[in-house]
Amino acid sequence: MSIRKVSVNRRRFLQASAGTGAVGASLGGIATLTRESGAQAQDTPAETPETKIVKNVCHQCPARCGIDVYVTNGRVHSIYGDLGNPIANGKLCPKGHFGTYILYDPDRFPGPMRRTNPDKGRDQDPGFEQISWDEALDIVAERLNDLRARGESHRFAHFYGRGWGASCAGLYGAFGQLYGTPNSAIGHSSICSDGSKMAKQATDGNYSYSAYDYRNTNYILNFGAGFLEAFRPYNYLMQIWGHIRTKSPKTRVTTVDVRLTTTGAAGDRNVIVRPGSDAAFALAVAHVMLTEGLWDREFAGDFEDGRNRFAAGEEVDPETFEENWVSGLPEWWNAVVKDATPEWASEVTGVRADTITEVAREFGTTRPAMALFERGPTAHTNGTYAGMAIHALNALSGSMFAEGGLMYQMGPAYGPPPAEADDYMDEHASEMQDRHPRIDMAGTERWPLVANMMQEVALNHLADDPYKLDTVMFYLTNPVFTAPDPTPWEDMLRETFVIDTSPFPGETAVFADLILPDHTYLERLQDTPTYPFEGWPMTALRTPAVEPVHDTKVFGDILIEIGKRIDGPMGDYYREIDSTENLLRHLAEGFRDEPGDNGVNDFESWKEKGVWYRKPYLWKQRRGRFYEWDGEGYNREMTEDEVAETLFKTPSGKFEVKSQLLEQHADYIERELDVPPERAGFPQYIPPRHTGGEGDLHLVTPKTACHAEGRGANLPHAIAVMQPTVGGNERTFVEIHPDTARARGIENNGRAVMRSDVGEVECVVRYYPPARPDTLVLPMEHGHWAQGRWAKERLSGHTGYVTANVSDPLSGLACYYTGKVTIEPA
Amino acid sequence: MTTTTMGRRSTAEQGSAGTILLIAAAVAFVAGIAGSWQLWTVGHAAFNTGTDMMWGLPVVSYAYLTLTSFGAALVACLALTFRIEAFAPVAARALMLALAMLIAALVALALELGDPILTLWAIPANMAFASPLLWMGVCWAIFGLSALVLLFQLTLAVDDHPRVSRIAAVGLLVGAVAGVVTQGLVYGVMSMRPVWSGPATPLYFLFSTVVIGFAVVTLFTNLAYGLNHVRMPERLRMLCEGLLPKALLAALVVYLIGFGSRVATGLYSGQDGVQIVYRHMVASWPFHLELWVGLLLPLVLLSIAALRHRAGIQTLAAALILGGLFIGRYEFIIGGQLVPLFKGSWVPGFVDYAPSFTEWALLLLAVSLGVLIYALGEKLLNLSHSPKTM
Amino acid sequence: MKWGMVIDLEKCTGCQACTTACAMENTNLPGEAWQDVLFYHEGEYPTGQLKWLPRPCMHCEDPSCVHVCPTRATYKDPEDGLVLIDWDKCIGCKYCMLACPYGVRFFTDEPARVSPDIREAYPDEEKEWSPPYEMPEHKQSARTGVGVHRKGVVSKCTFCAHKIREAPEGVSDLDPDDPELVEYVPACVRTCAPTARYFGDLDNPESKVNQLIADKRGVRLLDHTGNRPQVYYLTGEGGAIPAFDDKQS
Repeated sequence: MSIRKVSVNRRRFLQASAGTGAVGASLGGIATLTRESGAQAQDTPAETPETKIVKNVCHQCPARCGIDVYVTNGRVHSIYGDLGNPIANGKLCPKGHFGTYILYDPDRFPGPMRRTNPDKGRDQDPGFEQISWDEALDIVAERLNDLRARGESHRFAHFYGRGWGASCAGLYGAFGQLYGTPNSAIGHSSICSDGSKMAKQATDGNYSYSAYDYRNTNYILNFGAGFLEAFRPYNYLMQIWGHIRTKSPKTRVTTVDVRLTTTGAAGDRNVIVRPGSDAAFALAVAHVMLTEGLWDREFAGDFEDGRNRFAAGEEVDPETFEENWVSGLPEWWNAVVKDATPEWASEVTGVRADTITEVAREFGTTRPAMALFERGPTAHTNGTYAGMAIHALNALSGSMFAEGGLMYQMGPAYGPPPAEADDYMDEHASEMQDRHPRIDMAGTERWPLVANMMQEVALNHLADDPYKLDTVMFYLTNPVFTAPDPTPWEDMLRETFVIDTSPFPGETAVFADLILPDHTYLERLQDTPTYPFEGWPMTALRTPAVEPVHDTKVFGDILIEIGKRIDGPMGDYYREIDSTENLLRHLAEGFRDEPGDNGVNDFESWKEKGVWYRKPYLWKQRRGRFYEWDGEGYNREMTEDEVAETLFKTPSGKFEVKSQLLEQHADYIERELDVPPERAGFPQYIPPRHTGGEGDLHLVTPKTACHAEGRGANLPHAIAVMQPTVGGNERTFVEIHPDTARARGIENNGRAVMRSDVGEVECVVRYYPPARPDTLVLPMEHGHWAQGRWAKERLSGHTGYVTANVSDPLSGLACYYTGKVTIEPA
Repeated sequence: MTTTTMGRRSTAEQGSAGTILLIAAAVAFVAGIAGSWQLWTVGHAAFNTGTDMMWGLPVVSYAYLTLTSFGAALVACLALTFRIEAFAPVAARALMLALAMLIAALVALALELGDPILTLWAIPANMAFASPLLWMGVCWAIFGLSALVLLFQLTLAVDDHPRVSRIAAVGLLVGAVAGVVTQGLVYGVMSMRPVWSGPATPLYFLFSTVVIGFAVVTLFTNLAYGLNHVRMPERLRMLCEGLLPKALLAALVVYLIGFGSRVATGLYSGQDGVQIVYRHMVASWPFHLELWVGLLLPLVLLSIAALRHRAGIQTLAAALILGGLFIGRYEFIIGGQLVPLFKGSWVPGFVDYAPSFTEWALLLLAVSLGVLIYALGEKLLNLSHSPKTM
Repeated sequence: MKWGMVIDLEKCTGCQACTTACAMENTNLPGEAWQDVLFYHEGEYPTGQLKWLPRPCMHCEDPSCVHVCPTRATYKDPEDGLVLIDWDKCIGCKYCMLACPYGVRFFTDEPARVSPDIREAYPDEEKEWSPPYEMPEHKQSARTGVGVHRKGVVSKCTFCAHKIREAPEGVSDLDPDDPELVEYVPACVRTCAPTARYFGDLDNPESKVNQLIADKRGVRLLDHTGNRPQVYYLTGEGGAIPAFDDKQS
């Protein structure tokens, strides 16, 4: 213990020397003396302040991890995963810990701001002046009331990105209905990942992301999902990873992607395919499974006599095949799969044929085995068909609704809201119903199958087709930066009245006429029903950890307060809703009849525990039969009608590898994609239509683990760990194969310019020999021209400025990964 | 014991050289302080050193100045400790140089350390016996004290306590040699840094010190007499035209042998992180400046008997050697840190380091301070005093 | 007792949550990664490899940093085996940083790794900076090098000394899934989603960490330096300890 003795001696020395007073101080002794105070404080723990832990939900990706927020003396100082939250289980991903930065961001708006500079532009200082909430809300209300009085309420549009639940984005529907606009709200899903939802709707009838039983699966075939970087719920996926990779038997993982990332590297096999060719790989896997008899006969069906007639290149007689839960399998074989040999797929994908066969045999002989995918395959013009081809593997492996397979998410047991919008309709609201198309033309002949088409809005507005918007309001979305080829948004925002609700200065705010700043998440009361997770219902609750740091208001209340100021019964409706807290209290009443597994049965217990959830998932497919939970087990077998109603919501009530939905739109599909009408319904490979003009290199623009819902670029610690593959820890780099770079005279770590027919981007490259020589990878992260002091003008530049605004005609998903570019030294 | 003053210089003799040196040093010192203003405003963030390059130019500066100090002291020891009469005429000047450079080194160190005030008592109070740095401090203490006593005895007290002087002379030698060796140990014990580690490192330091010592004494002795041996007292002139340049030459040869073997083993070493550093070094221009201009050119100049005794040549050779050895010190200290110890692929193969402006200013500040103190000593003390016997 | 860590490379996903949890818990500057994950690539398309290695302070049994410290500011606590820095004694000579074979030490007074310098957003006279979310004052301790760094000192991973030293006496392992123990678990271990990290008493033969080291044949890094780390790696199937050769760049 000599160490401590010395330390004590030193303190005595200091106490003695403190007596010498001024001399020591003048020599710079002050610093030394005050240093001691820290150590002494530690020795006298008498006045330890109390630390409280507040339940909240992370806001930095869609996953909704419950978090414990540590607050001492009114300051938040750390954030950890909530042990009681079934997604977080006490853990967090790398972003989760950054919440304090977001709360205490030095650039936050101090309160509602009004623009004073009438000129708008990237380089124009808005000249914001702070105003009161009453003033700000009155400005909005006056504008909206005027618009309504003129019969032009459809020219008001809401835009949102991450909707969390009933108390924020959930309020839009009623707002649009009562105010009289079809544009409440335009979601961002078409610049997010609608491709996977569309692929699933076309095949199994669920317009949704899937929920997965990863814990029990023995094989994961992953197509282009950033499983260990960005796929949701990221945190939980990593927890699962630790489990499945050390359980017995160990879950095998094959990653099919266009690049080498941690996801691919951590698994058993990383297959690097040509961008946009995933469907061919998946079809070849199906081909091998069928020819080698490796499909799940109990789920999919079999030949009448049990003899496998699937042979390469040979058609089968559909009459000889008895379908069970898969509809159109022999027809699909005849039209598509019989020719999709590994050799053919090898040509398309650039992967060795024997590798494809190996993967197919592994996938086909392992149960349970699941195939999953995200934007990698779907953010191309052929994305929906690619997603369908991959998803069809789940039909062949029988993993739909099976243990270790996929299912869909149940919603929470919410009680009724304080008021129903239908009871507050006035004449104008009724008149406006279905009178105008949405500004993005979603659901019209132009985009018949899509839910949202946000990336079309600026172009439609500028073309005055279908009309021009007057007032636009943004919540957690920033399309003027994030949309593909976003510059037209600047023109649109220049000529509309723009309301931004972000607490931070960003690109939208630069064009905003009014800032109605939202709380940051640690200040909010807000519900967050889970994204598709494990199927059973769950909803977590954000509760304020601290008093708002600035004069802000939670978005739901902003909307409600605007609603109260609208003339007519709409105002009454919102007075009845009163506040998000009142709404949430009503919703929580639903828990009384269905208490959560953790005992949550009302608003107060919800707040205390932070989450309500209720296991189990109610349905399960076992050996080709469907069962419902009867309170003790999956014991009650379901009828075909019940399955069709709750699980396979397709016209056939089965998993359709001959999609009736798409066949209904065969003409549209032929027009847009040149697919012959008789093939329209089948999962298939069609060559992607790469955008970008004369570009000779593919450009892929993924999100990394620290993307943080667009805030990552302004989080100094996130910047420092942003791109692990190539050490992008101060800036991001273009991952480039050294041969590709050298051929163009670009040095390692050198500056370069990427160009497409849309625009150009300044970037910095880093040699990455595992990269495909024909593919560049640049994370969509930096290059902001607003968004905070750390984000501003950080290299590499923004990928959106070389990304063409082209979308998959079926899903509407912007084809972020299908662009081609050139690159040359800067 | 008696001492006699051999040829006390007249003010005229001391002449303009000393004044010029004093003024030049003062101007440089002021410039150094002004140049390092960022150090006073933003602290050590003004250095390009830190977690990747821990010991940068400021440490090089201080290390070089300590070696200069030790080296000058070793020259003084020839007369004071070993009683080699021939070197008596430079003993006082060498001592003054040793003290001046020690102070300069300590100032450089103080400005480099995170907390210099704390250092003053934290090292003695904690007695970390395992650390070479502690022993370096002990050596410095012995060395500095001995030098101070001796200088006082030689120039002011006129050797009225010969016994004290003798003890101090032994202390000076022990302090200097042990100081050099412990400084070598600081690097030599670092098994995780192969460019530094090894039993030969302290020896390499000793070789460097000796050559620096002879060079700095040669340089400043010649400067003191305006590069004119004729002005020198007889014994000094004999030394300068005889033994001193020969000693410098011999020290240089020994150093070159050490230098050559280091570079050669470095270039052929199979150990991770060695060859790559030496290759990098050999491919850089400072190395060639060091080798050709800082070492080989002086070697040629000093090898030619006809040139060796000329004041201008000696001064030039000494100055070149001092420059060369400074580069050597830089390459040694920086080179040992060039390869990051533990790194991922994306960490550059070499730490990217170039001294900041502040660091260069600090070098100027420290060196000019040393010269300034020396020049003051030259003005105020009789550095031509030559102890006859002790 | 002797606290030690086990890192299972087969489970590690390279997500860097350990790094960020540590940074936020200990109010480190951006890029000042007390706990870092080092990434390596080898080979070329289509057979390129990507590997990674999480690296905290090894809290060595025979730490070279402690030997070289001239003021005993860096010390090994004989009671729980932690290697800590007493900022009250640290003179900022950086010798320990040179002497650490694992490169886990940081000098606080250096140019910002991410600009603009976050210290300028939250300036402080005494400390490097003072962000609103810094660790509560009563948790900070100069004598163990915990809390916001002083100016001019060396800092490094403390195994979250401020947490683990509050743990109940005699506990063999700090299991983050145990609600009774979670508050005492080091930040990196606590947040590790795939449970690639374990923390426990290496002196206790019954501890989970010792069981894992035994069952999965744990190894220590750079054993030839003689430092004998108290952090063990399990390489398993699919885990790898990359070669630290100087040819990589």
